[in-house]
Amino acid sequence: MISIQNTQFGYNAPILQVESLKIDNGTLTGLIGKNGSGKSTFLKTLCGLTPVLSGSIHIGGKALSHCSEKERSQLVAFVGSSQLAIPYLSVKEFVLLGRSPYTGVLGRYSTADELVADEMLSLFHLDHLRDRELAELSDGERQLAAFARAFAQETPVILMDEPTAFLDYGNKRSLLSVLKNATVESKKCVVISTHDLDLCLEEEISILGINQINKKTIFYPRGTTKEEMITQFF
Amino acid sequence: MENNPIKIIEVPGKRPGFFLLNFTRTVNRILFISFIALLLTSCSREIQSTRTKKAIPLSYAQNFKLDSLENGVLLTIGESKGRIKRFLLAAEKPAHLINGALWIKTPVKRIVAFAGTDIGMLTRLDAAEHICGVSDRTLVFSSAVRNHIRKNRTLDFRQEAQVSFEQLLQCKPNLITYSDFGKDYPHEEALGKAGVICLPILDWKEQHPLGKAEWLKVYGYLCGKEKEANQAFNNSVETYNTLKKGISSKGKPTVFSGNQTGEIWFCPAGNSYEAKLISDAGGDYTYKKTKGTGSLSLTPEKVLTDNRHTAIWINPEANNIRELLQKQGRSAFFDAYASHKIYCYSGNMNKYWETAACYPEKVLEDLITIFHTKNPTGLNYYQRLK
Amino acid sequence: MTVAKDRFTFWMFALLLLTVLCFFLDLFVGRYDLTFNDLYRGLFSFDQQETGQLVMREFRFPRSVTALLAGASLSVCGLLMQTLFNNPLAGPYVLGISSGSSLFVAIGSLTGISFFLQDAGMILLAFVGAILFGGIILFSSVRIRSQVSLLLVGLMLGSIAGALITTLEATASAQELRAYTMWTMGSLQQTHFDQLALFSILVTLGLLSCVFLIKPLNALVLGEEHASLLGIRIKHFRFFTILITAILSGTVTAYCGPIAFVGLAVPNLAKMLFKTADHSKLLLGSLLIGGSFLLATDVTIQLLEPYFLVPVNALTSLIGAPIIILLIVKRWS
Repeated sequence: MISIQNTQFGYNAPILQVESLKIDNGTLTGLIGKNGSGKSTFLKTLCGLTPVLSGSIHIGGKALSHCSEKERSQLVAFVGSSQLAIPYLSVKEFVLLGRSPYTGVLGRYSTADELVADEMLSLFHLDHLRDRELAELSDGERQLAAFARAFAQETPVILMDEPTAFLDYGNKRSLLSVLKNATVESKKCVVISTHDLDLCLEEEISILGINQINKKTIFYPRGTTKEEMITQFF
Repeated sequence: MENNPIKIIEVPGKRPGFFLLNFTRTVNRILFISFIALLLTSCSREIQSTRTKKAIPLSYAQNFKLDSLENGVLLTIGESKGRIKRFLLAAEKPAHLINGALWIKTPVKRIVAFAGTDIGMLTRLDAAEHICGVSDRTLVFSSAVRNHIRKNRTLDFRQEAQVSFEQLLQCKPNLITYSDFGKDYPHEEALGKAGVICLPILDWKEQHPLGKAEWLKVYGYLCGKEKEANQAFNNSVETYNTLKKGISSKGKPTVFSGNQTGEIWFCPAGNSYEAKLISDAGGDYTYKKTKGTGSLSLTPEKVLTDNRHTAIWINPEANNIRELLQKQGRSAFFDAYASHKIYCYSGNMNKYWETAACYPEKVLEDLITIFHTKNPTGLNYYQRLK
Repeated sequence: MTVAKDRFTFWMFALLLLTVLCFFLDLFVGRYDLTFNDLYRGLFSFDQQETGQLVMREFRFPRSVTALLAGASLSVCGLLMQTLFNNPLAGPYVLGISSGSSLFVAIGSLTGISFFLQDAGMILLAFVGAILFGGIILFSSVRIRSQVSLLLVGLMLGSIAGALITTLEATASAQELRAYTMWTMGSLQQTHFDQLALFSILVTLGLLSCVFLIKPLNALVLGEEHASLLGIRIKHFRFFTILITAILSGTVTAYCGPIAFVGLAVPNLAKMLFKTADHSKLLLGSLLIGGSFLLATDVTIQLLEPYFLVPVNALTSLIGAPIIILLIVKRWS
């Protein structure tokens, strides 16, 4: 789970402030906010890629600032928004890369690693595509592969920056649904940033909103109505 | 009188028309006669010049020609089939110049000598005082010239490649002699306009050692020392031929010449100047049968396998053994190395590059001594590598 | 999965065989005929008087070993640089390390100070230059975050070195200029038999160290951010990659002068042939392809030698470029 106390996010000046926020395991949370409101910064800071300006973040009980790269890689997984169409990389190999935090110096994958990768591939319905090159897949399939990789990393927390951005409505819906089920099943804490408020409401996932005016986050658990939300931050 | 074009004008008191008419006719006649005279004289002058052009015979040189004309000497530089430059050596500027020849006022008083061998030749002719500039003082052997440099009568340009136009004009030369490798001297036209002639020196192209020495004549004619030049040249020829004849009875040692730069060994080709010297000195040169007048490019492997057992190695371009091994580590495998028979003109590199061209008999003498004596001593240029 | 694995194993064996074949071809092709006896004796019971043994030991053997080591090193360096900078056009010289070698060799040969400090001296100078420039780049890599900026630093170092070299060239004598120019043409024949030991040790160490880079290299195809989040210590990785590249390319430049094309083309060739992003396969593949390529080039030089002498750099591009073009056309048709 994610626990944030009195933290300021930003590069030089604070863009966002969080007084107190706790996100439990087994939940999929949608991060909503206008463009430029600081969603990416928020996620990147939660990954540890950007340092906090002040305050502390705890992931799975551990303080993020005190983690080494390796420890961090076993706590948080990240999926970026850009599509990675890497030449010559097969889907299976791509998902296996998610096991890197657990491999030795030479990077060899054990049978356990292979099993986890296979599991994740089936979780996201990609078995039939495992030997295909990443560049050959459709956008939706590639995104699913990215999810599989992140899940293969077996971290308590997974963060995703606009994973459904380039997909059509049908794909967005199914992806979100698959993701939600996987999250609940594996009891992970997943936060995705997105623009699709309606979709989130439809899928009944909790929302984390960013208020432009006071630059603070507001957490809306599942079931909050749209009207209540809109007045608060749009 | 009937077809007189001029009208008779009645002027009281005189007979005007007649006067005018006579005047015109006379002028016409004078004009006509002078025109014919001019034609004839210029014709005869042309006829005179071609009639008086006489070729000055040369014995060995292939890259220049001398023709004596009525008003001076025509110097043609270059081979007949290639690039040619003509220069008229005369005391006075001629009325017109044949075939694009440039005029050089002789005797030349101030020469900038960039060719290296020019310093040697001018010194031999006792004309060193005319050298007003050299490319690099550290490369000059001639003590006369070095003296002049010390007394600031001659300018040291410190590295020819960079000499600027203004720098050259500073020492007010009449002539610049330079080794021509295919390109004109930079700023040649501009220098020409400033009254400085650029004379290409092609003695490096001569295939016969005596052909190189014959260039003494060029310098002789330039400085008004033709007699001295001819004398010096004839001396060289005589000595050279005497030396050459003197070795017929002795045995022929095997010889190779050359050195390695980078990956490639450069050895003189069969028809080159060095090959001629070696054969005239009674040596059996490994590559004497090859064609060409320049250098052969060979692999180190080939040179080693061809010359492993060759008796003598000359011109390795090193001053001592240590330097030789540093530059060409595999030199140690030659028999010539083991028997200490490696020779180079390392005694004084400057002396060799400056004077060997005009004293081929001295080089020949050295080679003969090296080839036919067990412990060569008293060499002019060469020394055994230690 | 096993099909791909079998395919890869097959190619590896084929390449290994090819490399060995090229090595022996290079040893025996040439104007002077040699036998296996010459090889054995030349190496183990050397008799200086035997010309065959002499040629084998002093000329052929060093040449072949140099070609193999240089080809392998440069290809591996090229692969490292291409993955580090995520740019298929990067080569081993992109960080300007070999410019350092060129500069110091130029100082040694063009200023007339130590003109005769050739052979062993030249090698030492080249090493010094590589270490100096390599050090500057390493220092910069620790301070600079962005890859592009690091590339720029490398380019600027190269420009500075180039400018200084040009200045030295302008004031050099014809002889010095010729010696230096010949060095820049690259040569596989300048190594002596007794220098092979050090050369081999350095290259072997460098190549073996690459084993520890396989994991970070594989992760790096996802981009720096993702790789970092997969547990890769990016700063460490960059430092060691540059260090290994500096050692390998510096060593090769010291013994052979700058050899063009190999480091750029061979990794791309390996990727096209093996169709994998797994660096354990790519490293081994580049090594073998690079080695056999440079050996084959040297064999060609030997074959052409009676007609004309071709410098190594000319031939690597002449042979290699058409092959690359062919493969690209094939891939896109």
